[in-house]
Amino acid sequence: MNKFWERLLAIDRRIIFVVIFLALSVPIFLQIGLPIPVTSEVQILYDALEDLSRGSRILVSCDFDPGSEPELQPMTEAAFKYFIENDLKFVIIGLWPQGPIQANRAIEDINESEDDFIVENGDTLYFGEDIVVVSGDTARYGIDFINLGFQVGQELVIQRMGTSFEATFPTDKRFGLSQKEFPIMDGIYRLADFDFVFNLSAGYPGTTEWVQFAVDRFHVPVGAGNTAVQAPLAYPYLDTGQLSGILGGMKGGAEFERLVGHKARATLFMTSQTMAHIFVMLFIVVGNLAFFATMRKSDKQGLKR
Amino acid sequence: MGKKVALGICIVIILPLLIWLVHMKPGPSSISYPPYDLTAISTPFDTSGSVTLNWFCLEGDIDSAAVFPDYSILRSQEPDGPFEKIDSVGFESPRATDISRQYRDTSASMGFSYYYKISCDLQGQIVESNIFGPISPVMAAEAAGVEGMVEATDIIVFPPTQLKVFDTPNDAGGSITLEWKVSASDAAKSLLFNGYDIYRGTSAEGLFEKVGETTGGVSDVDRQMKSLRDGRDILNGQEYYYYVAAKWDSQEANSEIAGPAVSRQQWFHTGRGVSLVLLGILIGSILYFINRAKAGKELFIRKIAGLEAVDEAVGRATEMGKAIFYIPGIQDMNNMQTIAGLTILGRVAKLTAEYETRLEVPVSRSLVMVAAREIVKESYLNAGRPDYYNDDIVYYLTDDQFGYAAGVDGLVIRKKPATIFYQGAFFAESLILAETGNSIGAIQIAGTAMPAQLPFFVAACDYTLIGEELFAASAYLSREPKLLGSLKGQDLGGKLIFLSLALIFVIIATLGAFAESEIVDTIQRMFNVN
Amino acid sequence: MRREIPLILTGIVGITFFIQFFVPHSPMRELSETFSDWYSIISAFAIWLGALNLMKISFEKVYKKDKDWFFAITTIVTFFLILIVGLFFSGGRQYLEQGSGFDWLYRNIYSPLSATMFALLAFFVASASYRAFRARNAQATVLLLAAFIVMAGRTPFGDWITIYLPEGWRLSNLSNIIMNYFNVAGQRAIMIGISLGVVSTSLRIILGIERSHLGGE
Repeated sequence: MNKFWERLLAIDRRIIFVVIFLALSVPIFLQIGLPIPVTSEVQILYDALEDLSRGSRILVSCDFDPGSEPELQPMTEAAFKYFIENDLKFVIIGLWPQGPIQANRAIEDINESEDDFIVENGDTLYFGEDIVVVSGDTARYGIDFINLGFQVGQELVIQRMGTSFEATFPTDKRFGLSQKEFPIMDGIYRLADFDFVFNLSAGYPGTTEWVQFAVDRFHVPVGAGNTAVQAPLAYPYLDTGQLSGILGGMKGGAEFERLVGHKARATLFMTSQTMAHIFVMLFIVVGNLAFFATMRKSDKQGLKR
Repeated sequence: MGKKVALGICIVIILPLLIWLVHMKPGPSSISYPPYDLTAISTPFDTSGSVTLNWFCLEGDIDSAAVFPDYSILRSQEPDGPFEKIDSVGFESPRATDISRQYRDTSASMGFSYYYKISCDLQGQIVESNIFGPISPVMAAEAAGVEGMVEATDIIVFPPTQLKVFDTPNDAGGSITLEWKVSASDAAKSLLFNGYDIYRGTSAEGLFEKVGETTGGVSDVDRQMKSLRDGRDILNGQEYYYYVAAKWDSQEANSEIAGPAVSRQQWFHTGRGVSLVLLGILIGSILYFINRAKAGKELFIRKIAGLEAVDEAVGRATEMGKAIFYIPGIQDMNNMQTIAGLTILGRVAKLTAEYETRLEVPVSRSLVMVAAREIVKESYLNAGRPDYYNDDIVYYLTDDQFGYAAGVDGLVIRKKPATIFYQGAFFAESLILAETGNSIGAIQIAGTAMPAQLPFFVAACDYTLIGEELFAASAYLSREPKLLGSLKGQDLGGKLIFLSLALIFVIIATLGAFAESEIVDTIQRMFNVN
Repeated sequence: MRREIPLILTGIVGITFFIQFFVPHSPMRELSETFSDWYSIISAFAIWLGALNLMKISFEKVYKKDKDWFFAITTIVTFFLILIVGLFFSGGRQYLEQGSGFDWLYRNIYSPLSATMFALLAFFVASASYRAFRARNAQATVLLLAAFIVMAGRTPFGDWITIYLPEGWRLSNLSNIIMNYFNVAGQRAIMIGISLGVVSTSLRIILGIERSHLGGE
């Protein structure tokens, strides 16, 4: 019996990997959805967005890369859908180079139109790039949303936006035109001209820098979506009121999907996450049982000697 | 003893007072009269002359309610009354917005001033509004020169009020701030309210031009004010006048003209006075103890297990004839953790030179590669082994986080180093790196000031430098008095004084919270970095 | 002068940023913005140092047929593949457009690889937890219990197994209490210590007391 516990204690880690793989992948194929209760930090963010007037402009800072896509992409898509349905204009930027690319992918993925393009006044407008249709509402590039791309400089970019937004992001990503040529940018001269900042962050630069500069210096309300590892760092700012809500990891994304009425990937993947958590807890229990069993045996042997 | 008493008095009495004195006080809040906040204007574009009232609905007066008592409209020609009821507005009457109602008093006569109030009988309790007045109806032809009749059911947009314009504080000039109480027609998610236009002129009587626009809604929820900074072509020293127009459907309603405001540069940021005081304490403390250390005072520093183990870890690699890997984090030279990590690299490099152990430093940033090479080269020189150095000890992999993690993991699996150091700023790749190192049986010493990554390193590594222990490494390894002095200053000036202040304010805030006073908000505001 | 010039430059720039934080009057803001721009330009150009070094080492490995030179070939080929496709076969400025060569490489190679590496964390967390989470003493046991509560509470499973408990006492509520109070307290303590360490180290570097990052003692 003791040999069993000793072998368990020294188990090959690859067996653990296989079990976790099965725990994560099987629920995806079974497509089981679980009820997701909404936590206060997600509710705070949703309420802050609900309080915005029609036509408000939101700065969306996509500060993540494909590595964090499983956690942050679903909340990005849910947010974009919400903005379009509620006539909230959004301006996309990135402090990470891949961020604006991920935002483009989100725009593409939320588009519900089956057509590829339309021709309007001689211009070809592509669905999922120039026009997006969500739940019957249409959003147009340059009028309802725009992507100004990535800017190097990390938190210094936020500081510069506080004094001159145009100097920091002079052109848009899609056409390379001056941002002033697009109606959505009318009246935006500096960061404080935005009604809300929604930051999706996987690390540095990220939520902490947005709080330090945008909130503390320029008094712009900021809501955050973080990976599960980064979210605990943001809680102190939520507590002080510096952050207007947090979406923490895939669970936060699933809760947000529930609030905006668009259950999608985050909700689906929560089942996998739940199974993984259950198995990790089981591993810890088994590991401790094996540890105590072998420890007791060593103690007995010690006494005999 | 005297010094300690003086320090105690400073911390408990003088510092809190100083912080309270230098903190930036907030501007005045908007003046409102809940729950109705009744306002009235002479109906624009009404050639018959009438007065339109606007008030916010009481709680319970919502579309889905089955029934709600009527609102009584009361009018008087004197502010103290007597008020007589002239009409009532029923629940079934259409609203102006989701949260407000309007009433048109067409019986008001021109040339007379009136005072109004609203009253509602809520289950036996009479809820009355503020008294608004004096207001006189003005014929449209007189007021705006536009002819037309306004139907009683037409919604009228109300202008923004309490407009204040002033030089934007704490800036380098070129900016004027406007603040106003939002229009009574400004309701969240209203389909008809179109925000505000900002008009500017250089004299109150002269021409005004539109200089900006903004959406509806308050920007300062605590003070219930909307604010905007006008930084468009503002000249310092020039007087400016403004008015704000609320837009509703095809209507506009203008506020009163406010001004003059003159933009100027400020020499000191008054919103950062508290930061200056606290930084001053910390810096003063650090410099004081650096001076004391230079004067020869012995300073104690506790054992840090991770740093004590550096020699042992390098020795292990030497005995096994394997390499040492040093990972200085994935951030650039502008990050203090990277600099702290490179400090330890210098020490490790010196040991590897002395023991002739192979050292490899794969880095994620080009500037870090350049700096690390200088440090390793200098360390080999100081150890008397310049021949042992070559540039390929430090090499670049990639800036990409997971590309770097993959590259390092591959190198670790193939080369199987005996010792791995992780010293610097790490993110999600920390556990990937540490677990891979653990799988090959290497001794691992980690150090990072990323709170989210510390648990991973603690679980997977043999020794971990937690947070400020990483920054103390330089002083710890060199034992130089100036560096040890700065540590003491940081502990005393920083931790002792700051935490004592924190404790004092926590006690005050807790007592204030029980007494339901505004002290909690005041304390929160005091420590805002503006 | 090799060490004196960097020390002087560090001191000047450091003090400028420090003063600019408290003095908005020109020319402080303009100076700090200029220095920030210089840093951005230098770090953007510095990428070439790293890229050239990477190619040099990779080519040397291939030339000398060192052990594992196959990986060096992979590095060289992928480096030039993305560079050439991105510069010449992706429509110039519109290189991020859907359907371009660069976009294809981003979606089908870079993105899945990056996500895969991040996904490894799930497996490593399980193996690290199995190996390291032992109730060796009282503190470790408390840590273990907190970990269980948070892991269960952050998923619907936690509410499911405690559904019979009154609202406010279920695992998700306890998990929120741990995250919003205990976690916040611990994070704040560590953040305060780290911030003090950063200020102290920065001061030493600005004043030139700390010089080890320039090489030597």
